[in-house]
Amino acid sequence: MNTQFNKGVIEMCVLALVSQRDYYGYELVETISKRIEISEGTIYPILRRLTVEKYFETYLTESSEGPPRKYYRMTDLGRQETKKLLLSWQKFSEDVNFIIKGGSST
Amino acid sequence: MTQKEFIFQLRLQLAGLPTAEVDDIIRDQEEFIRDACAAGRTEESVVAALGTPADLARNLKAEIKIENAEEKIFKATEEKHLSEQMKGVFGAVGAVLVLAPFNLIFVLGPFTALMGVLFGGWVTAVTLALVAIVLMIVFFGYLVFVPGGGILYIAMLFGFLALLAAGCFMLGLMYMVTQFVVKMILGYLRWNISFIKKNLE
Repeated sequence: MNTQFNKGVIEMCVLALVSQRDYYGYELVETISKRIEISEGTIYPILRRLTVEKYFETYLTESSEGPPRKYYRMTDLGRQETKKLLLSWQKFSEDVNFIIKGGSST
Repeated sequence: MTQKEFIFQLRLQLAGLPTAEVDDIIRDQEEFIRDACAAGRTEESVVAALGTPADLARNLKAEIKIENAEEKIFKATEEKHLSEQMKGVFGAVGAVLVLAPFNLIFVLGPFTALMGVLFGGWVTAVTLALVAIVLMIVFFGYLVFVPGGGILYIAMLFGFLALLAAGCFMLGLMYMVTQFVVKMILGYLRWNISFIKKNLE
């Protein structure tokens, strides 16, 4: 699959998931890779960038089975941007589907 | 590759980044491998799925360098005084240069040329103003020793004043031109980074 396309899509999936509830890294990879084939190494650079860009905040939680886990929580800024992104994705996918199905008129 | 080898290699490849940053990245990777193993996968397969340490390190380093350059550009934009902005521009150009080899041509070349032109303009402006001032000092000193009058002296005085005015005008002009050039360079650097980002993804 086209990697450029893939990376943007993964980023959107990550944003959509974390906007619903707090996630930790492996959980995100697991959830996304159930439906989409991803290279697992790409997730952490994305999470790091979204944190630097202040879309996410992180916090550590003690886990019962060993060292603490890092959770990602969405900020207000992240929420705003995700909303915009998902809206434009919706429009985009509707348009693409329309064209694929053979539509040509407005 | 085992987890130990992977982490060791990654640490080597990340050399040069701040220690806190490296520790954080390593911590994340260890947590990921631990969680994946807890989910029933073998250590080998988890590590293999992460890709090579070199690839991961290159991706992360590229991102960190871009963030660094973006921060420098932002800081330069925020500076109030032109001289501080100029200093910021030099820092930002340096940070953008290391992002991609082709920036030696697309950034360093034009930047050096622009700086040359600006420098030439400022030197000319300062020289004009200084020459006018020196001439006037000499002129008035001469008047003291050889008091006289006449239309010639007044003409000379006006000539010097015109020269001084030209110098000052050029200084003001250079100030505005420099402001414009700084803005233009920062705008171009921002565009340059967004181009590099698109090609990274």
